[in-house]
Amino acid sequence: MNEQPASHSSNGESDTDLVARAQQGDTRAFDDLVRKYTPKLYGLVYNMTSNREDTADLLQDIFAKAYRSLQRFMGKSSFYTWIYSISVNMTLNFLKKRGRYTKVSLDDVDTGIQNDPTFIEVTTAAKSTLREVNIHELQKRLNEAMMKLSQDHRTVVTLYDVQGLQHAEISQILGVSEGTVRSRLFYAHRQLQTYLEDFVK
Amino acid sequence: MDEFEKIQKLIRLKKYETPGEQFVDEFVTAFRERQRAEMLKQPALSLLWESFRAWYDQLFSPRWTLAAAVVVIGFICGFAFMPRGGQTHLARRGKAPDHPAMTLSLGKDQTGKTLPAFSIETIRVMGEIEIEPDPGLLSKHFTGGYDQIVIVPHDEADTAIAVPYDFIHLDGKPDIR
Repeated sequence: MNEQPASHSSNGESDTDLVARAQQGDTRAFDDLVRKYTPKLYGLVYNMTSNREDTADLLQDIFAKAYRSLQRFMGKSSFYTWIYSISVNMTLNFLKKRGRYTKVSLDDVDTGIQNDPTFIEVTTAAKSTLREVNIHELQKRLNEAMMKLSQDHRTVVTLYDVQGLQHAEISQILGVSEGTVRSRLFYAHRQLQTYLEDFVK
Repeated sequence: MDEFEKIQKLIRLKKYETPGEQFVDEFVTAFRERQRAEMLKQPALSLLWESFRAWYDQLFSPRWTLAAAVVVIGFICGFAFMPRGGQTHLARRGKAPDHPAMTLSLGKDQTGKTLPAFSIETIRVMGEIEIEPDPGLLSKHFTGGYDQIVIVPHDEADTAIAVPYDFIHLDGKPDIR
């Protein structure tokens, strides 16, 4: 599953065109890029920080940095990869500064989850084994499990499992080999399997 | 379905955690306001510097910047290692002399006749480097004094290394050596 944003914005303009216009000083073109990438980058930062206020603040900083650096964007990679790299680096720096202190502040869960086959399967199995599982409990457990992962492992799990990026894309964003991405995913899944054992058996 | 696949599906449920439909619009508005506020807060000099950097980055690729830096350093080194007091022939061409001419006398020929004195403006060494006539320099090779130097041949025992040189006459006469 690859949920990479379409290379064209809602008004049909490609990232390349929008970037070129923004580089010439057209702020509306950059607004279009912000509008287009906000949902995806929000998901990335939110799942790494588990705090929606921090996510909104950090996202502002990310786009401000991208705007300031836009003249230096030479187009050697796609804008998509470039903005993701900025986001990952800034989020990891933020997490280093934040240290162990984590104030969890979670978003509401979209009601669409109730029709998701995985959610149905988990909640049905829960009923049969007398485990009370509701949406909020599941959300809490998933977040706790994610926050137990190291930052590197959480990053690849967010990009691959939650955001649906491919190994090659993650490798480009993180600047590591595809083998490293696969290896980090393997260890992260093994840890998650331990933390969420009661949901997967 | 193996357990890894189950874990993936479970973690994928996190995509349902969303900030709400209004978030994007509010975020873009907040971003615009923040950008404007930052622009107003930034001192004029900083804005000018940022504009210059943006222009410079657009104008030159890093490769050309490096090349330009190498050329500039080359020029600086060239000037630094240029012989003191020396100037190239090209640099001097067309310029009025900025030092007094030196009058030289060749003394007498073998018949005892006094040879005519002449003035020199510049001495060209090794066919390229032009130097001002310097009595101190000339006195190592010739006897005499400033303004009335009498040229005599080198003493063979002199260990000074004689370099090819030309006298450039003020009146355009050829070198009489």
